[in-house]
Amino acid sequence: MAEPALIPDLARGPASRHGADPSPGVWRTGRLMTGLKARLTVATLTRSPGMIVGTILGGLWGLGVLFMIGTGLFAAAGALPPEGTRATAVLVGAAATVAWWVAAIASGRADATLHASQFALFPLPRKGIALGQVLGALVGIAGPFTLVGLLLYTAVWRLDATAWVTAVVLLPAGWLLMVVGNRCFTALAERLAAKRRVGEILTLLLLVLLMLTGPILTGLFTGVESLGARIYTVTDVVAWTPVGALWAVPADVAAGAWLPALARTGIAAVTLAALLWLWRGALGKSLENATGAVVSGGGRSQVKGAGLFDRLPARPWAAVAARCLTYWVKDPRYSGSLVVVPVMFVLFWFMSGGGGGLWFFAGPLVGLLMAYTISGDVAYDHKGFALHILTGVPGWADRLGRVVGMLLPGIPLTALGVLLAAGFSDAWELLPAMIGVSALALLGGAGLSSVMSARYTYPVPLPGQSPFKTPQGFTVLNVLIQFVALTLMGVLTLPALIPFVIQLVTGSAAAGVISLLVGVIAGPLLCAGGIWLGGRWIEARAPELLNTVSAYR
Amino acid sequence: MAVSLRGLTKVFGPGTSRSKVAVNRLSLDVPHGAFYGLVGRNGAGKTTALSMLTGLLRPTEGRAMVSGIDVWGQSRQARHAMGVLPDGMTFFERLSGRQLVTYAGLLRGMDRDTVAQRTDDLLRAMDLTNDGGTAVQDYSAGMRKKIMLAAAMVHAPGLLVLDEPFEAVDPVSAANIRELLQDFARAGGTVIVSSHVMDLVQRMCDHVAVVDDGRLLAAGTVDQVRGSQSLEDTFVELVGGRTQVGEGLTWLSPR
Ligand SMILES: Nc1ncnc2c1ncn2[C@@H]1O[C@H](COP(=O)(O)OP(=O)(O)OP(=O)(O)O)[C@@H](O)[C@H]1O
Ligand SMILES: [Mg+2]
Repeated sequence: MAEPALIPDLARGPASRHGADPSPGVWRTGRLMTGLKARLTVATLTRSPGMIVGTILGGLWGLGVLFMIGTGLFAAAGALPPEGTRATAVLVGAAATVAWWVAAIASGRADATLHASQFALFPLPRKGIALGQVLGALVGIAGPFTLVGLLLYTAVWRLDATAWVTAVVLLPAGWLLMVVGNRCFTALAERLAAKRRVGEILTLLLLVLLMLTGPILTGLFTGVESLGARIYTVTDVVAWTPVGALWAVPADVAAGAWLPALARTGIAAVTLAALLWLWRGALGKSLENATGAVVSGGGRSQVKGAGLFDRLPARPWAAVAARCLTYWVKDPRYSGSLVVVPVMFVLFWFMSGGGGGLWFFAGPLVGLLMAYTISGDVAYDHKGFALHILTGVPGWADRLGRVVGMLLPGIPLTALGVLLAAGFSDAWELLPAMIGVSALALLGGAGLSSVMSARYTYPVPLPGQSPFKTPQGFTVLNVLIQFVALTLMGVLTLPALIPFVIQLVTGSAAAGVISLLVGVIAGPLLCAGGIWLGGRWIEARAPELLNTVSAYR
Repeated sequence: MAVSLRGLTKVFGPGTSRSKVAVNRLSLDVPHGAFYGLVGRNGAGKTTALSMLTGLLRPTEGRAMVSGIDVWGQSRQARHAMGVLPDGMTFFERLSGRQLVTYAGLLRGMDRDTVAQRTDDLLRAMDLTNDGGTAVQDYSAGMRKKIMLAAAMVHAPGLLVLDEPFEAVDPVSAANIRELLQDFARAGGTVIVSSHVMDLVQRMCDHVAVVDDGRLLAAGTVDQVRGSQSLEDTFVELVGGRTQVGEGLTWLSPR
């Protein structure tokens, strides 16, 4: 017989039936969540008059883009041989599918509407949540656009009635493949991103990949020009992959190739089933671990002593610089910019075929990018900015620290850009002018950022969020601020840029020297002026600024 | 007076239909060396009032003075005289606990050795020595409170303004911190804490102010305010609003 139980048998306790309340069924849950999503979408899009204007403009823009793609496909159908039509259809379809799936990883934990973990506390059936997420996509923003896009996409088959009918019939399946894949990868990414470091590295890798899509595509398409046949080989391969199979079915049906059609439909079905199965698992996991706790994988990393604070001078401005520099290294919202720079160099190298052309502007562009990054600095601090107010750090020290923190990686990277440009183009005579323009871009831009961010801010991803997260609550003013900041930064570099261009055109070395002088004199002056003025502005309006940025979410 | 508030008023969203008077002509004097409790119901305006005192929120009207220094006139000096634990704010959480306290010290213009010394002491007092190297974003809610408290004290101010300092803090740490604050007050420092826990306020504070709906209902020494009752009873009497909860939610019972 069993030993007498030391632990009281809970099953025989008083007849309390916790959680015995019937939970809503699968369909009801799906319906409820779809309704919730619809309401959230409407609320997001109509929160303020500015937002409504933005919604209408954004909607028109999106429709315009879709229309252009549709027209392109429509025209392609007429202009290309049937083989070409098939290649276009398959590649565009596969690319769109991949885009949908990758978007999941990019948004990661960020876009949390209808995320499973938010419903963990409610006794909802898992299948209902899944259903709600799929149906919810229909009343979201990207979902309907994709549906319209898919409708326009079928135009590619317009010359072949059989293919067109097949495409229209398969359309819901295609949409489902995209959305289910997206949801599945979102759930998986959520699991992965729970290990913070992993999530951050994934994010940065993705950023690099996104930036390199240009060159990769260029590579593919230069291949197309030289080797027209290669694209068909690529198409044939893609047409057997999980992301491409479905999009090739209409061509098979039209050609009466029933066996491949069946096989490809099978591939698509198996893919969908696999995604659903994966998703089920991931969903279960996120429902069980819903605290949103983020694990800093592999043993908590310990900082020795006070880190950079021990190394920079013990002054308020240097403390700000040390803090900013720590963030430049540790926070993907900043380190993303640092990763982008080397990738930019690769891009330039790619696009200018080695030397010359765009390369000449590598230094200034890196400078502008770095300077622009700190134009959102106070918004990046979010509520942390309260510490600066409470400690009464002088405005100029706040500004100076942020600029120094940015320049410490900014100057070497910009210099690298200039040197690479001169080296690859073998145009060392342009070096002085390039230094001048870069100095003006980096330092002048930093001055401008110091002034702008002291008064005008715009929503940015909050601390701890992915740099891909699209911040909410953009107003027309915010967009205007960003636009004006970038334009002014560009205009600021003109005094050095014009002599540089003159040197490029006429080869006059004197123009280069003028550019250098303008850059190294005006750059630091503008920077100092910006720090001074920005410091005064920030002292005058720090509480209001805190109010604005801490309201971002 | 360590702190004097004169007609402090905050109107959120003035001139709109949703305008809200969060703090309504609040006047209060806090003597030097007082351990002052600020109590009130949720949404009474405590955080709003303390934010205006500490320079985080500009008052619609009225003045706030710290040792005779106008917080909104000579803000630098006033801020130097205060150590503040704000509510609903987070500091730079990617820094480690030790870095955060160091940062607060250096921002105040202190020299490196003093900052390092005091950071060590504070981490020990807050029972965070072993977590000094961990990023604040990996801290628990109570640990966060404690590290922010440490950051508020590193420059040894004469006045501590602490908004709900014991929320989420465990009883052992709370007792340690309470003792630390009481020693500080006995030595002539002034402490203002806001809290909902009447028992704690009654035991810990020597003065108390009751606010409700943005207005000051009562202020003075704890004994003056509570008379012969407990502070909790006095508070409920002053504020009113006890609903007959037991009858209201009869369905809330295990089936
Ligand atoms: N930024 C704001 N905009 C509009 N109303 C606000 C804002 N901040 C606070 N309020 C309102 O002001 C009132 C006072 O809020 P406050 O945060 O000061 O209360 P509290 O006494 O600190 O409450 P608790 O005890 O819950 O912390 C509340 O009614 C709140 O809704
Ligand atoms: Mg409060």
